[in-house]
Amino acid sequence: MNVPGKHLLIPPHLSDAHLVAYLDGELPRAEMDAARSHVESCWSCRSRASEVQAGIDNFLRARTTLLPDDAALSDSRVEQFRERLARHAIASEAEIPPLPERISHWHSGFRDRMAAFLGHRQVLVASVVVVCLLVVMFTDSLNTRVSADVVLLRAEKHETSELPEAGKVTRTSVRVARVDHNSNAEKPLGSLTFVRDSVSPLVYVTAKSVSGEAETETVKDVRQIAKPLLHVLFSNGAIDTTLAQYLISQQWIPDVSVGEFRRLAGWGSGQVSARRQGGTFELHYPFAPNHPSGIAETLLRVSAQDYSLTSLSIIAAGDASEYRFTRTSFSPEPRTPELARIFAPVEVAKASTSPAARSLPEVSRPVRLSYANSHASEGEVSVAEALHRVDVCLGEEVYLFPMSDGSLLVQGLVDSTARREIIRQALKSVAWPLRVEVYVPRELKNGSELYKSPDPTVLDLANENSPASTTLADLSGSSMPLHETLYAHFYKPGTSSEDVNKQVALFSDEIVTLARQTFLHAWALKRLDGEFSPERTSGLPAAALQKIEQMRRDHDRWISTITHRQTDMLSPIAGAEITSSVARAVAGRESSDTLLRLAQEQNDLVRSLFTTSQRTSETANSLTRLLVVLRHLGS
Amino acid sequence: MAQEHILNLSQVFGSEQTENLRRTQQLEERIVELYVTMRPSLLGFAYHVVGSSGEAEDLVQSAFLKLFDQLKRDAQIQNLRSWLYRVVHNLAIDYVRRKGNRESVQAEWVALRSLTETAHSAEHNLIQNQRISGSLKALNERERHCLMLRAEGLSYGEIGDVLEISPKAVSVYLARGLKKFGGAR
Repeated sequence: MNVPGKHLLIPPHLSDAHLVAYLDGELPRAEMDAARSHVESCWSCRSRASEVQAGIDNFLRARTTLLPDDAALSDSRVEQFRERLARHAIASEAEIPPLPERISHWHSGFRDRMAAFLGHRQVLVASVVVVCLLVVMFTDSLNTRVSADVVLLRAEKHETSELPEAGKVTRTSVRVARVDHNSNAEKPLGSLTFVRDSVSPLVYVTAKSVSGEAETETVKDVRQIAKPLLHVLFSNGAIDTTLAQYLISQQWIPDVSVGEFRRLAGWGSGQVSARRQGGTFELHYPFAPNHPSGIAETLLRVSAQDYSLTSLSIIAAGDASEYRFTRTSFSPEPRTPELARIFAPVEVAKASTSPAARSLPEVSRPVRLSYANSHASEGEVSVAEALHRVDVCLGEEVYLFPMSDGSLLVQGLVDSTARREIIRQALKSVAWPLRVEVYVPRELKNGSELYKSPDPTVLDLANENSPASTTLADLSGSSMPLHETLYAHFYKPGTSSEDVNKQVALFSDEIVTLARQTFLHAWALKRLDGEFSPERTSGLPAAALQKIEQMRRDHDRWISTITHRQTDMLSPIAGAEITSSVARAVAGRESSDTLLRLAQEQNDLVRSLFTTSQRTSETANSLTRLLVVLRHLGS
Repeated sequence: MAQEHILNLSQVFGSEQTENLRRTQQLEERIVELYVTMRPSLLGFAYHVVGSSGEAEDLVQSAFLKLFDQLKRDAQIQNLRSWLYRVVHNLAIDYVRRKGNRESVQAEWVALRSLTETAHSAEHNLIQNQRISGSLKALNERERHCLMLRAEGLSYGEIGDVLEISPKAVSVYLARGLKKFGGAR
């Protein structure tokens, strides 16, 4: 008897790669047919195909959330590209060496024609005009309209080209002067020198005032010595006090760099505008009128030739005087043993007992404190309250850090500049030393550092409590578990199924949104508990404690209001039987931990019931549980 | 009569130069049109590789400048789409290598970005997005690039052209990548 081969009895399953290629229609025709008949007959491969589909759905979903902020194509962007292309076309034209014969041909032809033209003066003048027009059209020599973004980007690129190479250091000198608004005469205030190393991240900085005061330091983070540097330069009342104090409080470094310009621009609220002045790009950044810094405008000058920075100016609001920081020289130098000693590790310098090492001025730089090792200040409460008022506490990644010098730092990431402006405005009312570093995602480059929340427990909790019940993208041929129940609830004779479905969609959208809000408010409560724990708030005045209590009450009230609304919405759906059985399950006030867990549970339950899912859940049980949780939350 | 003479550029520059100018202008217009059409998808891809929208924009524009040079030289381009993606890919990879170990920076950025997204969108759930960013991080470079390009609608052959691998290899990378995402439920 002929026994068929094993491979005929059990056709081989498709490999993963084969299966994906089959689903994408990328198999050769012969293999395609075989794959199709196999998948049609094989449950296991069909199930794997749906997994592939789920993978595609998940990936697409992830991809759309990660598109750049400024993906939209604006007219100005197209214009900017058009300009760049035109410049490139001209440059590439110049690069192609013309053929000798072509030149002579052109030259002789041109000479003949010129000879003919010279007879007609009118013609000559007009042709000069045409040539000038062409020059204007095809070069940017007279083009004063430029994009500030592009200039800054290029300048940043140029800056990276200036980083010291191996075996070298770079020395940058900056002249500081006050420019008389009327006569444009510079009155020198002092000078700065930055020496940057190729081996260590240290920077050697010297500041000299005209009166001869000097400050020298080798530092890892230049910002550490912003204060002494500015003190040296602006001693003898050479600068408006408000302005000086603001710069010092913001730890601004008088360095001519794109980074420092961006920092200045980050405090204002206007828009950078750029124009070309001869061989220089001028980037103007106006500040809002009556800005607390006392700055009216900042101005960066960039060479149009190679995008190197020329100078950076701060224009005071009071007397319109300009403080100009001009780069006087930049040079790479060999890393001599003497220089190498300056950049020797700090620990060695500290351990050495030479008088020079000991005479290094002590610089105290405020550091971030954690909740565990700091006390809450009145300022911290005020800032938290200001942030609370604009709902930053509802899940936004913006944190408030107490600093070792008693000041505060608000740092974080928001999704748009408009949102950042709202936060800045809200913080304006706070009278407390405060630094605000709120970024939008596209600014997160060049080493900007985002600190983790000062209270890590909240984030950890959110990370760990990942429920297995919810799915994100199971959209393939499935519907919301409660769809039929909701449809029956909203159905009235005479209404079209489309209308009913619309009502169902609106209802579930609202429920899902409310559930998320409850969760965020519970999260905010938990954050408040961490930030203003009894240990941290002991000794605070009653007014501050009251503010904290008010914030707690706000969230409590919201949770209660929202969950009542949810219960009201859900009870008719659940039916009288379930609702009455739940009514008994009322408990007292919960801790913020329990609240957060409950809020998370209701959010998960709502999502499992009111968003599309392949899973057929036990809807009645889930609904009952949801109502129980909501009763707890709303009590 | 004299006016007509003046406005005729060929008289001033010679006919060859004028023809060249006109051709260059036409080419520039065509390139700008192509840029407008192709920018969104190329930008999305470049952004995923370099993790900064400013750099991504710069890379995409540079690719179109290269395209201009190619067409100016009458070079043949078989498949314009995969050619553009390949140039963007190569420029982006060069950029990332020059910048050193950007892979980790990008992964962090992905995680950060998805965290903030969640804070605002009522549609998305915090935990799910965290898991998705976890899955993105689990992908290796090849898998991520294959998935990105496939999502932009490129065929296996085109993806193979861009990444300089065989279409079979593309299907293997896609399968592996999707498995990591399918398991992310």
